[in-house]
Amino acid sequence: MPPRFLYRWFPRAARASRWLEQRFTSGGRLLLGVLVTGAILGIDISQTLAYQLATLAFALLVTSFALSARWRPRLAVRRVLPQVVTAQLASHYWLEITNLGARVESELWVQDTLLDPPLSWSRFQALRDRDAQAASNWFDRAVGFPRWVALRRRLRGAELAPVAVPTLAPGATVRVKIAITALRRGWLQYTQLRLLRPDPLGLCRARARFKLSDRLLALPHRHPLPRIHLHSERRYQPGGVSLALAVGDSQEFAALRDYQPGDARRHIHWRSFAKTGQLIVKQYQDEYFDRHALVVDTHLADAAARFEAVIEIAASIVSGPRPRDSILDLVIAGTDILELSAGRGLGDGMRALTYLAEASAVEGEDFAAVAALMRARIGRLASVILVFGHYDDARRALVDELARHDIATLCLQVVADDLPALAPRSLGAGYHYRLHVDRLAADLARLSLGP
Amino acid sequence: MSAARSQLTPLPRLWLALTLLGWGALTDNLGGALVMALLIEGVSLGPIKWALAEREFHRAADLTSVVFTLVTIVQFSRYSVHGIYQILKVCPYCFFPLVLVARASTAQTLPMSALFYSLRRQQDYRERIDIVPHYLALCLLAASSGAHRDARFVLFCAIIVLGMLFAARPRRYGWTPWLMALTLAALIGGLTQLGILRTQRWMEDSVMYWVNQFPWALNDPSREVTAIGTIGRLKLSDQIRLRVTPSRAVKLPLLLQEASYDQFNFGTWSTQQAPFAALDKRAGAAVWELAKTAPTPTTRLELSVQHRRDLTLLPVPRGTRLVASEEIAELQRNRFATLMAESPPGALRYTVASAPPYATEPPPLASDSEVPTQYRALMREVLSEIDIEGQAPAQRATRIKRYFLEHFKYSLVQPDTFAWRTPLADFLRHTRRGHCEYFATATVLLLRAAGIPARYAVGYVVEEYSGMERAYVARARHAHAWALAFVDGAWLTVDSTPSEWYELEEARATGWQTVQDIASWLVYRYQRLAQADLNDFTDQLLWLVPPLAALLYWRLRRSPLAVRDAPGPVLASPLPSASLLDPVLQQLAARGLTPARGETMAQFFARAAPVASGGVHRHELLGLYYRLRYGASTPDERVALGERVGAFSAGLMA
Repeated sequence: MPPRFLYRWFPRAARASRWLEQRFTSGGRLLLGVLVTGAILGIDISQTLAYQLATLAFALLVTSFALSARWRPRLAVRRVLPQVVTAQLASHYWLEITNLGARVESELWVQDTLLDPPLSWSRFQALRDRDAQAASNWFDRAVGFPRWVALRRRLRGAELAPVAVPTLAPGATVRVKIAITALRRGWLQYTQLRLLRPDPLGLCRARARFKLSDRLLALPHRHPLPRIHLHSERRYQPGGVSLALAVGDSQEFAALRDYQPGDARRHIHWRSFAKTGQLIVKQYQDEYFDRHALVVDTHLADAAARFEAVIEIAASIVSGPRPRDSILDLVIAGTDILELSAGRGLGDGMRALTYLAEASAVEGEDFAAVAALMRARIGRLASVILVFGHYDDARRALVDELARHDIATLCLQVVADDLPALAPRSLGAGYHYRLHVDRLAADLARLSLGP
Repeated sequence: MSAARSQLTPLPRLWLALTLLGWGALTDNLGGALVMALLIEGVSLGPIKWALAEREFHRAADLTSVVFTLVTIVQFSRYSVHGIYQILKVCPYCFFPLVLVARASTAQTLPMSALFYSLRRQQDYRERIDIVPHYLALCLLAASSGAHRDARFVLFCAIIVLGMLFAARPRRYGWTPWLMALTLAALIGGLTQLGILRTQRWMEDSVMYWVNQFPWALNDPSREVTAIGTIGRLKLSDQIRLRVTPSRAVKLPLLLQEASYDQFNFGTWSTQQAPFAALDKRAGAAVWELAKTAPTPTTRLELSVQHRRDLTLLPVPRGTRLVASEEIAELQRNRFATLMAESPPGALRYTVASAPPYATEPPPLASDSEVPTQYRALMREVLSEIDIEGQAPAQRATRIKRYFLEHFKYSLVQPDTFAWRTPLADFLRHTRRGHCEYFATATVLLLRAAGIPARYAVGYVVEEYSGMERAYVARARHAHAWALAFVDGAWLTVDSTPSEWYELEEARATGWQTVQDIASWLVYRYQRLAQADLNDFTDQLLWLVPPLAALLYWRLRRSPLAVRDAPGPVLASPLPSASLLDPVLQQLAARGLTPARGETMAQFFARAAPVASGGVHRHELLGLYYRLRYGASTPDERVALGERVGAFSAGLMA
């Protein structure tokens, strides 16, 4: 366990490391290494001439540093962000850079920056203990700095690499592609970006900061699911005929978007694939009718990994394939309710995914409130999918009550230990499965749901 | 920067070879540097590269680690803490496999997991590093440990660094800012160098003055009392201390003298006013001539002594006129002709040449004739038993020696002594048995009492031959003491210890001696390998390098991983329509603006060309171009495009 006094130095070390990476080119950093090593080895000038090499490195670096101290570029920068990205899937966005000056700008680099959320000592301890196995070496175990860096990176949401900007003529605009792989779901907060310009010796870089705030939503990571067939019966729906006419996938084309696991293969837009080499799918306006509910267990403040797994399963269900006569229009996460259908307007999967992307774990064990919410809507539902992080009496009572009302249930329980899989329940048409938190994708793919 | 790590750092052609040769020249490793330079440039410029997997890179890194560890152990055992600079000096050898493998691979870079073992467990870690610039920096640091203290090193560094800076210089600046920046750097460098030298000089003076103010500054190299070789030396170990290989047959037993002393007090022999002074080496050779006017040496011995400190006394035969060894950094001598060598701990090998007469040894001083007050009466009493009255000094010495041989016995066991008698008095008057130190001490004091200047000498008796070692060996228990008497203008050896002492010591050999000898021999071979023999060994192995390299190359060429450099895919000849834009493209290229790979003409114009030039809007120009490009243009439009291109480029030129 790293001592606390070291922890105080972590942010400073990270800032220094970032400063070094931005302020010096790779050649400059190499020369800096030569300077330090040469100075240490050359301390006894009667033994070695390393001090001469250190002096040479020092002179070049000082000159280079001084020549790159100030830079006020005449450039304008704008982010062009997609609507959403998906956690753990490679994606990209664009930076639009315009040269407002009268000279050609070349050999520039751009470094976009995400906000670093604060990471308190107690939170670091909790997260670090959770990822204890992730410690890769003795230094990490003893000091903990690499894990602190990894945790900060995950909380930040993504690691953005610096990118070279193509040569830009006066008055011209260029779009620079920035690769991004969101490391977590939720909002990624952009704060600023920096443009970097080398000095005449190519050892240091001048930095120009652009305050540019933006937000980008990362949807939860999803896994391929088998088609879910739940026993259901048609019930009166307040949506009326206008909804009944639109049950199932409508053919109304909405947009093209990147392929995500679980998307139907028939929706792949092959022409785009041929052009870009990446899987692109056609997105349709989802319109469903027959009502099913999804209950997401959020009382998992003390089990973050299981909570994330619960959210991923819920997101996979929301965006996964369903029978044509099935509609998922009610998502209950904790005591929050998301109605996907309201009046004549039909909600789509994106709203539910956005909702899940922002969901946070709830403290306490008060599951009775969730049960009460379910009871209020029990008459409209044909089936309920429940995703639990643990399974206790209160949750069992809810499942039993749903069964008594002849509502089909699919209970997916995320476990952290290797318990034997539960056989499908005999009561009504209920199913109960255990999914291991470390083998989520494999366990979900093996689910046997339906006839 | 992670994105930049996988990119190759631009370097001038053959720069790696030049750096290696510079390092080799400055550190006297030119042969090895030449081989490495040829190998690395041969591989870099050769037509074949190998599609190596991460596993192969890991193996190369592991080999490098093993080599580096071995070198570290060997250099530390040879040079102790100064080994850091010796390790640094040979680092380019250690890390060469890694660079060679990187340059021979199709990737040209190393996975970071090759350098950090913990990353090998992280399957998704894909960062790579260009090792060559780091290796160049290592070569520069390694060259700093060379012995050449002139302007060559700084010149070499400046050339290599300037070459690297030149290749990687930002093209956005012209020559003037680059050269001005370099001039400024040179100025700062010169002033810093001057400052460092002055500061160092000031610190040396200040610190030495400060240290010398304190009474505990006792590490005075000119101190006069030595405790080396006092009486009471243990003689019981079977450990081999000395190996002797004579060039021709020598008379046995051979006495090798380590030191001699003139003052005896309270059981301790010591010297006073006998500081050691460094001897001059023969120019260009590791040879020290002890006597300038020596006749041709008649006996030549190759000796190897085990020692544990940087400074060691050299056992040599009497009459030594010449010492030669590559392993001795400095040889010192005091007025008793005792030789002290500075050399890394371990097995020190040296050659001596000796010849009688021994007149080269300095004449006696007053202290060589003094009998301590407490022993005068005892010595007179003993002398009265020996009939030396009226005898010449040589005969007196002989009689004293015979007295001991006839009336005394050798024994390693001393009976309890009486507290009111000194051990020497007990030995002479009562027990009449003792070990060589008793005999030697008593002989020296009797000789002095008889008017003959005498000294106490210690060293080894060499008589045992080891078939395994193929040399004469002297063990710790073969350490011996004897007297030196100054008779007729020369120092004579007077060994009065009964000759059975050697057999008695041999009888004390333990049953483990054979095992110990084998272990000792193995340790000795290792030490030799780690020391000077390593150079001979590697020199012999160098002959193996060309055939082995040829064999390796032949095998690697046949490897399924070998990829022959194919000429890049021949790009289809540019579309005839593209050439119509050439005047504009050339104007833009002159400003450093060229189309990037995969960039369409519309994208390129958007970032590189002004909105309008020469009265022509770029959208209009591109519209005409694309119509021609896709075969939709009319002949008039073709003519119009030519006119617009001319006007646009003329506008750019203006």
